[in-house]
Amino acid sequence: MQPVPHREATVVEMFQSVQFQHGLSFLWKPQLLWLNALSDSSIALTYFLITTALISVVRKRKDIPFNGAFFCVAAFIIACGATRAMQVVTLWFPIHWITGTLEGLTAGISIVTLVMLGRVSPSILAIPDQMVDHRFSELIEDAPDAILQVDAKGIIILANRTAETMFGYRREELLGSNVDLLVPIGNRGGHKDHRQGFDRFGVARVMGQGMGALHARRKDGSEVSVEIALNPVKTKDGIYVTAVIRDVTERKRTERQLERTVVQLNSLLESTTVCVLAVDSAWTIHYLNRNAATLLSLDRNIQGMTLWDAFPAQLPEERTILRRVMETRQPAWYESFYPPLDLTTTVQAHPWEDGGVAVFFSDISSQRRLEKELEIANRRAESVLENTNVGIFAVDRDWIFRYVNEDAKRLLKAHDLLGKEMWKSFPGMTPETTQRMRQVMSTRTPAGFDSYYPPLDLSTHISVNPWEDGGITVCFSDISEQKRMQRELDWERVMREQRLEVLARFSAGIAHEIKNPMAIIHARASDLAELAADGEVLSAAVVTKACESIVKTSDRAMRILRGLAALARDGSNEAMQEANPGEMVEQAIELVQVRYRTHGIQIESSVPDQLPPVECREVQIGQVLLNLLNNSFDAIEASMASERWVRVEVSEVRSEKGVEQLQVDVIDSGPALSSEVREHLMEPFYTTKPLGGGIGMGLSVSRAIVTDHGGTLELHDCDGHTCFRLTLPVIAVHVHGVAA
Amino acid sequence: MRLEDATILVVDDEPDLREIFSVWLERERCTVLTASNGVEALSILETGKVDVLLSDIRMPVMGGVELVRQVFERKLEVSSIIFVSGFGVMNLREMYSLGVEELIEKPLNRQHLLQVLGDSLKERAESWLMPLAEPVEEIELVMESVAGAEATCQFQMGKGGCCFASDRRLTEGDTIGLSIQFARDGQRLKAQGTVRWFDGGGSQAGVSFVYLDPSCRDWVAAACERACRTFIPQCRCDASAGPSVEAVLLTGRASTLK
Repeated sequence: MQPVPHREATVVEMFQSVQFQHGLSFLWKPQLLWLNALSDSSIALTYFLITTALISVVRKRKDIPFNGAFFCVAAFIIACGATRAMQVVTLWFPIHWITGTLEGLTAGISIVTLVMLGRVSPSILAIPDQMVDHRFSELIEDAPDAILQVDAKGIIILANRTAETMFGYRREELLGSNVDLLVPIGNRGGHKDHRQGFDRFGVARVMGQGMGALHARRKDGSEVSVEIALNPVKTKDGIYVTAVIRDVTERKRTERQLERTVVQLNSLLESTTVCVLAVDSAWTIHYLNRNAATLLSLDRNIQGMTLWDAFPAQLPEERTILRRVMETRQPAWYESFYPPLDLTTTVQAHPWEDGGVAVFFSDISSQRRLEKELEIANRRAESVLENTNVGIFAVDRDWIFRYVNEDAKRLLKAHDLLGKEMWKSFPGMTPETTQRMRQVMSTRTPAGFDSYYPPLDLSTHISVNPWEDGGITVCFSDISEQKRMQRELDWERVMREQRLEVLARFSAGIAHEIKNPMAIIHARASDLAELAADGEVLSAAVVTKACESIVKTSDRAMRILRGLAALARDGSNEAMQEANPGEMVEQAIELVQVRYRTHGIQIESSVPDQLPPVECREVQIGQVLLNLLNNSFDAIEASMASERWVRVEVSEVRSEKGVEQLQVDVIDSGPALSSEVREHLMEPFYTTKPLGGGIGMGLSVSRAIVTDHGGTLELHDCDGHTCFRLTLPVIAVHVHGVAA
Repeated sequence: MRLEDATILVVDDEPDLREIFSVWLERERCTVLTASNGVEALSILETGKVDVLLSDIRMPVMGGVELVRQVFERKLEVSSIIFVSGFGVMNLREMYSLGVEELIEKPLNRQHLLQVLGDSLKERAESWLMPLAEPVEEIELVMESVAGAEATCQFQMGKGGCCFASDRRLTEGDTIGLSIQFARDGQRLKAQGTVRWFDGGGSQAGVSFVYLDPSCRDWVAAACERACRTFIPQCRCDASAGPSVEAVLLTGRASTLK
């Protein structure tokens, strides 16, 4: 210590008052003195504080090794602090012994510390780099899996944070505990053996292989599904095992859910009515649901075959579509037909995530069949409707057309009827139709009837109904064709009946006509026989006369029979032939002659010679002539007139070209027909009176026959007598000798 | 009357037949007249008596039926009328009622013709003498009186036979024995005859007499003469008349007694 040479009076006083001799050490400079005092005090204070900090750290980190060294360093620092503090005290108080002792103590401590450090320095050097270790431990701490390290006895010596959260134990609880703590109680027995087994072989593996799901027990007694990877670590204390434990509860749950979903999906696929078939990218079938197998009549074992092999008869178009789906990965919808099964399906082909194609299809064969049937039925109905020929129109109460359908327009051959008056538009309606329509309009009672509209030669069946607007609706169908067919049928029937009728009418007369010749022949022959038997000599003259009579009479009978045969024949199918009209007339007259004669009716005929031939069906024209003669007969019989005769006049109708037509007039003495009867006669035959009605019987048939021949049959009034005029065209313009 | 004494009028529109009939009859030395229809025949009948009229039915101008009507209408003298027909269209009942006594069907031979003519020329009484050995059926009836029965159509007499109501089925052509008691008259008809027609519906029969019992011969012959023209009546009353109650009652009792 140096005395302080200069000092101010106050400081000197202070020095003097405190410790004057130190004034010498600091040259008696108070500033230097105070600098030393403050610096040393600060250092001493800092030493104490450092020590306190160290001790508190070491106390807090029990894992920090080398506690002894720490304490030595701490003691050394405190000792240094204490010597600094003593040097400040010695500025004022000369307790140098005490200070010297303390410094000696400090020196001793520092030596001890040095020795300690020297001893632990290799260990300190062996401590891994603090930073690396920290990162590693952090990694372990924050690993997503729980990590435990267990020593050879099964004691947990390491556990990371994840293990704490996973098992619910605090780390202090885990460390030092046997690992069986974490094994479910039921498995603990086995675990020990497993563990020891593992220890023996000591190869890293996943724990619990082949044992199904592993579980770990948490502190709260619940269990978690875990996967555990075991890794042995060999140490001098034996094999430590590091276990990395992953909580797979969630995954297992998801897996179970997935599994359930798959099962559900599968059962859905199996039970759905939709057929499902899946192929992979190589067209190998790897799924086929039950429906598909049933529908395709396939064994489900075809899984593994290629689609092409399984369905060799698949149509090429479908294959093209499927290939496109496979290539473009774009779905396709189409309708498929599989010929071997006659199977129509609607198909959705979807690209599948595995690179293949899933084909969903359902059988629509029956649907298609129904559709086809429906279509056919529709077509039928349509065609029926189109050809229905039902005309419909409606008129209001003033007979103004309010509605007319197409059929009606067509059938009535009229358009633009709307707004027009019905009676004016169709003036030719028959009185009957007119009356019935008016009746419906006034009585509001429906009526149905057959009608004939002469201007259009239209036969219809009409149904007339009162309509709400006060008018009527009229539905009518064209039955002209029907009527025509009916007419043909009737004609046929009438023709047949007429022949029968004519036959019946003639039978009596004809029998008479036959019996008379027979009687003559019989009488002649029997007479000759009797005379011969009586032994009389018959002169040649007698025999000749008898025989001539027999021959002549039998010829007559034969002619009658021939005529009868002709009459009974249906001549409508015979070919047109050239015929002599004169002969035909004579023949017809001959047939009726007897009948006329027996009824006292005279029959005359005037037939010129050399008539031009006509082309006709002889039988039919013969029937017409007979019919006319019969009608005349009936007319005369029905009348009370005294005159009883029929005249048949045959003549030629000439023009500049020569003879064109042949005319046959059948005139009878009966009165001229009344206009009423005449009208009746001119009506179409289906309205004629029933057979046996007398006048007019079969006239329409006759007329039809004549018309068919290109001729006419008309009713005339010849001098007050009824006259039927039949004309027939001659074969060619016959140039008559005289005319030429 | 013998055939050779008879005058016979042949009416037929068939010249050949007229000729043959003429030849045959002339061979028998009868007097033969011919006509081609009813009108011609009537004009001949107007001029003189004819024993047998042999006529066709169907003829122009006037047929056989009309001819016979005219004969009776004009009260011309003809003993027998015989029809020749080629066709059996004639209702026998009507024919007998008309006064025709026989129908010959064509064809016919000489023998049959002469047989019929011969029979018809016999006197009535003469022809009613020979009883037949065994009638097929015996009919016995009881009626009130001839007049009453005739009025109610129960029984009527004609020139050649009678008609009567019977509830027995009879067959045309059969020979029957007929006995009718007329209670009030005290008369009794006892005869044998041939059934000429039988009307199943009204159960009436027409019988031509073959034999008359002598006990009734006189009055029956007289009645026959009274019976004007019909050969066998039709037993038809006017619709308005109808059978009397009495007649019905009688008829009810008039069941066969046999």
